[in-house]
Amino acid sequence: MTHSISLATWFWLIFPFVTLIALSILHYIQEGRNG
Amino acid sequence: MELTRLLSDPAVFTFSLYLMFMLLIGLWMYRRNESLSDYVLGGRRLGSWLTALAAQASDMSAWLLMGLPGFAVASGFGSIWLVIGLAVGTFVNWKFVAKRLRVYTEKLNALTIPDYLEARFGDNWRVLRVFSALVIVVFFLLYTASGFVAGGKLMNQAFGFDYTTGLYVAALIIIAYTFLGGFLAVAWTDFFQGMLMFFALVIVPIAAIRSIGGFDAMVQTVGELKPENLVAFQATDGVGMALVGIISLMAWGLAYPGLPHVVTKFMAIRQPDMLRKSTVIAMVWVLVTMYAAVFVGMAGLAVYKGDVLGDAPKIDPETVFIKLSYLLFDPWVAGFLVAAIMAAIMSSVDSFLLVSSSALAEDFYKTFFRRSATEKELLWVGRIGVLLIAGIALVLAHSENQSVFSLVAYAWGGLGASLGPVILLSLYWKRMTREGALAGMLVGMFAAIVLHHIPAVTSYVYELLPAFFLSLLSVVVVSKLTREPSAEVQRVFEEVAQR
Repeated sequence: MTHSISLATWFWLIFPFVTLIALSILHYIQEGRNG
Repeated sequence: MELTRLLSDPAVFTFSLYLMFMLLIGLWMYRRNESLSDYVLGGRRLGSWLTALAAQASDMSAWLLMGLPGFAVASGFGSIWLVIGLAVGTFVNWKFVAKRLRVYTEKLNALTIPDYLEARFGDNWRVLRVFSALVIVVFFLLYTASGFVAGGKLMNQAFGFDYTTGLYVAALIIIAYTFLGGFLAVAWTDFFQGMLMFFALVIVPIAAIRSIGGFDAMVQTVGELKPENLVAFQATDGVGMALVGIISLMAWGLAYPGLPHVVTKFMAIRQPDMLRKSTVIAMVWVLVTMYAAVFVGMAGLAVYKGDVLGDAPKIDPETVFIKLSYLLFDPWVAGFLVAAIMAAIMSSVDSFLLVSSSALAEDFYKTFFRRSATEKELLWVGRIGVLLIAGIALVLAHSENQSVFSLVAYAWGGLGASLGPVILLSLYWKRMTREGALAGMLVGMFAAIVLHHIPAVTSYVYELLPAFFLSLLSVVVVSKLTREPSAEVQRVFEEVAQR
């Protein structure tokens, strides 16, 4: 039997990682505009 | 000869080089400390990179290189929820706590968290200062002791030192550079240790996955041994239990605003606006290292297979990082990789020592014994505080006492629940009162301790979750019931909020 990683697991591995990096870059840009 | 064996071991040689480097930083920073403010906060002159890595390296202890890979051996991708919870908590802390706390503490001229709480609420009873300083000293004493224990065990497992010798070597180096160089030495050593942890955690899983024939081969092997490890959402006991488990793991991230060794780093940056760059650096660091640690555990299972599974595994799953380092790399390189674990231990313990010694110098000595103490005098009280705390912690650690470790299990929850909601609300809620702050600290503290001992609670959920919200609730209710803060306290709040 071959094993693989399900789509849902891939999603939970990738989504939080990408979102949090994106949010911190957004924070960087927004704070730059305010200050 | 034991000594000849150690000296001729290349891994010991590279490891010692690294320890020497940390000592040199302490010596180099010695002369740059002229006041207590320099010693406990580096005179607020850190840059973005230094602040980011110092905060993250202090936060992540040996847990990152040993505990988390061990957890990933057992739970596989199910451990991702803990990673997500901690990463979200870290992000919220950088985005919502960092800048306000930096601005507020400078405005109030506060060097420590107890200092800040007293000034923030105009607390002339001094009860906020005393209680928070006590909480900090007690918990950090336990934390320091557990760090020393971890250092001794690491020297024992990695290099074959006996536990006591390892303990003293590890403790001496940390004490020396913290004693000499204070916050600047802690921040600079944390910076290099953070870099070391990052690179070590990235290369070990890559090398391990390559050695077993690539990512797909790892997935096959793990799937054959423990198919549930390939699934993030492990609903073996039903969907409801899976959700409770996930929420419980993610709740770990709630502690961050209440961890003084992390938030004091925010207070030390040169300009509040520089924190925005630190946020990006810190998030990349924390996400990459934690994901890498999960893959260390996955790869470790694929390499060591049955040896790391079961109730009495041949290889302790928490040591897979050390084992893989020696298996896959030349001893010269392995010495540096294992030094990354020491780096993780040292970068946390130095901050525990410094935060608790600053509580002794600023919040007890200066407040109650010598109001007129000179800066030079306070600086030396801070240094003696480091020795004192470290001495007591060494005695606790000496017996390799398991109870030290079990006490530390709730130090994270205790600090997070007692200080977290109070610090968070104090930055954003003008109507919060001194009584509310005190109630929040007391309720958070006792809830965390009491709930920890009720199996009916802890078998479902990590006690920090209910304790945190009970504390939050008591801050709100008690603040509403008590007289609103003085006009002066409210005016300062508004000035800070406008920045």
